[in-house]
This record gives sequence, structure tokens and C-alpha cells, in this order.
Amino acid sequence: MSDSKANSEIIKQEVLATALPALKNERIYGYLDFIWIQGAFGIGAWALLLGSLAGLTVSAAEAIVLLLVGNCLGLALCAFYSAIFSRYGSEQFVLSRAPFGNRGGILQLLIWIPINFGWIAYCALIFGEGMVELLPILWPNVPKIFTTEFPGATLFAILSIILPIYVAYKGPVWIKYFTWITCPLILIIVGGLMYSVLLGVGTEKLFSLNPPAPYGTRAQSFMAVLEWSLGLGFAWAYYWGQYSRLAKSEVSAIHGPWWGWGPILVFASIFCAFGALVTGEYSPSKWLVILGGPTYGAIGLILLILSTLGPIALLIYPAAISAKVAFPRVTWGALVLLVSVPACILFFPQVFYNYNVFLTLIGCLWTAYGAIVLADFYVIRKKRRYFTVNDIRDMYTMGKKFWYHGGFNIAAWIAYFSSLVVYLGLYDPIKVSTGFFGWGFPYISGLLAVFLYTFVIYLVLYKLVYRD
Amino acid sequence: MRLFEARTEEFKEALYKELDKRLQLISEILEKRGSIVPMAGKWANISFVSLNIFLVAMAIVIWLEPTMIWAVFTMVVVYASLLVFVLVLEKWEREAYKRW
Repeated sequence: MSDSKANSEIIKQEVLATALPALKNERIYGYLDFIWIQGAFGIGAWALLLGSLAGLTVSAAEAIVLLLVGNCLGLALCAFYSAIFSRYGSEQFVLSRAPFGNRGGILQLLIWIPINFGWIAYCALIFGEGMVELLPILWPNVPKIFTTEFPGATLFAILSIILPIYVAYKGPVWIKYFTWITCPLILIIVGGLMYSVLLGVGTEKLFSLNPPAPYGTRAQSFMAVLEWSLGLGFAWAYYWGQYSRLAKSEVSAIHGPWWGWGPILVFASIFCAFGALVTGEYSPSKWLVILGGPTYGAIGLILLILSTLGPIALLIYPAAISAKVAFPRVTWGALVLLVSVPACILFFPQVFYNYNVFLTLIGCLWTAYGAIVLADFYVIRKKRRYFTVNDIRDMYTMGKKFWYHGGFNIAAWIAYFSSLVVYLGLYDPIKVSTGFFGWGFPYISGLLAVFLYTFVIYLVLYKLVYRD
Repeated sequence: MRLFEARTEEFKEALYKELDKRLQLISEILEKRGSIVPMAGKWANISFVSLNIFLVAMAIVIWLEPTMIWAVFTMVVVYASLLVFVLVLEKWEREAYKRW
């Protein structure tokens, strides 16, 4: 192969695996691709555990609606900014340099990668929890260490990330085919299991059951589930761009992920809510065995375990892409390992049982991020006809245009961190009650208020600090 | 410029050239059409916003009357209809973009 041919082949890889803007003929994801890919991504530990939390806290009808509304509304409020990444074909954290500053975009990445470890941990822990339930069914004389939550589940969790690391290393085409197979399969199986729950328990009984662990008042339970669902809906704020840059149209970039991370994800969550509601158990691997008995329970566990692998790959890949742009000296393989392996420090039962705190406390940060990007693009940049090619070049080359103060947009960073104070004032994520303001939750959703607050305060501060 | 500093000089040069070429191409397309790919049309945006407003309305219904299971099934029907509608619309927009 001649040098120029080899270079052109590597450049093609660069488009998919790193930072070059993707042109129209290089786009690989259509509307249906997105639904499947993000559906496979969506039906991960986060969906299952959120469903379980909802099932323990509210009734079946409330769980269905709150899961849908929270997830879809959180997504919808950020969805329109995915058009930016699809419009210019550039990666999420490159274009985030416009609102946060050229160095600020890198700082956002450094905040996000540890958050991503949290998501990897929940998937891996579900795998581990599933394995410690499954092994005694398949192998009655299994050594006891492999049936414990610690170290058994933790050890299996560590093993679970090996295959996804390899798939993520191979890139988006592998991921596309991987998910084209796993997503419909998982959906069919979740549907089948849902049907058996409805048939076994009966719809009438299911919809009349009282939740096993509600909070003090109905308003508190209702809003807690809405808050957790919103937390998951907003959580995708950091993920839109990595995939939307490869979208064949803006509609597919906006609607496709919304369907995958919204209604399709919620379909699995609802099934989990029913399971938790009927059994009173939080861990899906526990209630699958209670509901299904040894045979169907084992089938359910195998599928549960398999369902965690796709999402882990889909978490590692965008993190590695973004890290590659910020740290180009490091090789692709090393980056894939760096954005995945450190997650192992979170593979503990304490993390597994505090999912609601993660969704809301850390959720405030991704909510504020989404609000700032949206405000910056649709209010500030819109006035200047969005980005010019010189703007994009500046972001790629860390130029002067988005340097602001030492590489940081002060308006964005004040809005970002002050949102955490506002959030903790309105809502206490640990006690699931009103925060230090003494008012707010359960009459106001903390995350919706934070979204609105950050959107407005960023625009006000931007106008004050950068008048031009 | 830090973007491709990990590469050999020859390859780095090829990548810089490629970045410039792409930005130039993007510039021309943005000038003519506003986006590299078909932009989201009015109807797609309206249907998206309406669907989400509808969702909030359903939450209010269930808050007021938790036994209204019909509301849940109505949601399923509305969702399915809009999925098909936007699917057709997206295909049409892509065709229109090609013809343009």
C-alpha cells in the first residue's frame, strides 16, 4: 500500500475513532440504528435499578408514568443540542469548548470520566450480582466465595469489563453490529418476562398492590421517583454528542437517542418496577429468582448478565474518544484501558445500594452541563448564526476565540458550580427530603429547578462578563 | 496546535491538511445549506415537543387519579403513532435534502 493510501485509510479511522469532523458520507447512524444502539445502551443497570427503586416506592400505575415522564422530559430538555454535533460532525467535548472555554472543555471531560466510572460500576455490579445468584443454581457445589456480594460479586464485576473493553477498542462499527443483535433480543426477552409477571401475578392485583417501601407522604414518594427518573434522563447530557456526530440527519440525532434512552429504556425499567413491587426486593438478580423459580429465574439471570455487556462497551467508547481528543499523545488502546479499568475501585455493594444518591447528587452536575450547552448554542450562538468554520477551527486548535479567562468561561463555571448549592438547598438527596433552604422538595423538582436556574444564570452572567 | 502532536511529522501534516480540507468543505456546505446533514424540520420539532407536553399531562392525570390505567395505554398508542410519523418524515427530509 502506498503512503498516501495508507494515510487516507488511517484518516478514515481518525474520523470514527477520534476527532476529525465527520462528513455526510461518513455518517453511519440512521434513525433506526440510533433506536437500537441507544436502546441497547439504555437497557443497562441504570434502567433496571431505577425501575426497582420506583417499584419499591410507588404503585404500578404511578411507576409507569413517572418513569416515562422523568426520563423522557430530562432527555427532551437536552435533546435539541444534539443537533449541534450532528450539524458540524464534531465531537462533544470539542464543541463544549465554546461554552466552557478551551481549557474548560478539557476540565469538563475530567469531571465526566469519573462520573462514567460510576455508570460502568453499576453495570458491572449487576453482572456480578447476577453471577452470584446464577452460579448456585447451575452448580450447587460452587465454592461459597463465589456466592457472596463481597468479594464474589466484586470479582465477577471485574471480569465483566474485559469483553466490552475489547469491543470498545474495535470502534463504532463493531458496536453497531454488537447492538443490532443484543438490543432486539433483550427487548423480546424483557417483553416475555413482563408478560409472565403480568400473567403470573395478574394485572388487577399488580395495579392494586401498595409499594413495599414508600416515603412518609405520597407527595414525597411521587416526587422522589420523578427526581430519580429525571436524574437518569438528564444523565445522557454527556453522551449525545459522541453518537450524534455520526448521525445521517438531525432528526435522527434528536429523535433516535430519545427513543432509545427514553421509551425503550423505560420499557425495561417498568418490568423491573413490577418485579420489585411484587417481591419487595431491590436487586433485580434477587427478584428474578423469586419470581421465576430456578428454571425461568436462571434464564432471566443469564439474559440480565448478557444485557450488561453492551452498555459497558457503549460507556467506554465515547469516553475514550473524548479523552483521545484532549490527550492525543496517549495511544487509543491505553486510553480505552484508562477510561475503564479505574472503575473497578467502585465495584462494592455500598455503591450498588446507593444508586438513588448517585442519580441525584451527581445528577445535578450533568443537568447543569446540559443547561449551559443548550443556552449557549440556542441563545448566544444563534444570534451569530451558530458556529462559523473559524469557530470550529478555534476549538480544535485551542485558539484565542474561546480562551475567555485563562481558557475558562467564568460565566459557565460559576453557573455550573453554583447549581450544586441551589440543588442541595432545594433537595437533600441522601435523606430524600427538603434541602437546607427549608422549602422546595417535594413541591418542586430539584433537577428541573436546577436546569432552569443554570440556563438563566448562565445567560445573565455571560452578558455581564462578556458584553461583546 | 496540539491536536495531532502524537504522530510522525509526515502523518501529522497529512492530518492537518485533512482537517483544513474538511473545514473548508464544511464551510461551503454551511454557506449553502446550513448543515452537513438534513436539518430537523418544523414538523419533526413540533411533534417532538408535543409528545413531551403530552407526557407531562399524563403525569398530572395519574397524580390526580392513580387508578386511570387507560391513560397509560393511551400513551402507548400516541407513542407508537409518533414513532412511525417521524420515521416517515425523516426519510422524506433526507430525500428532499438529496434532491436539493
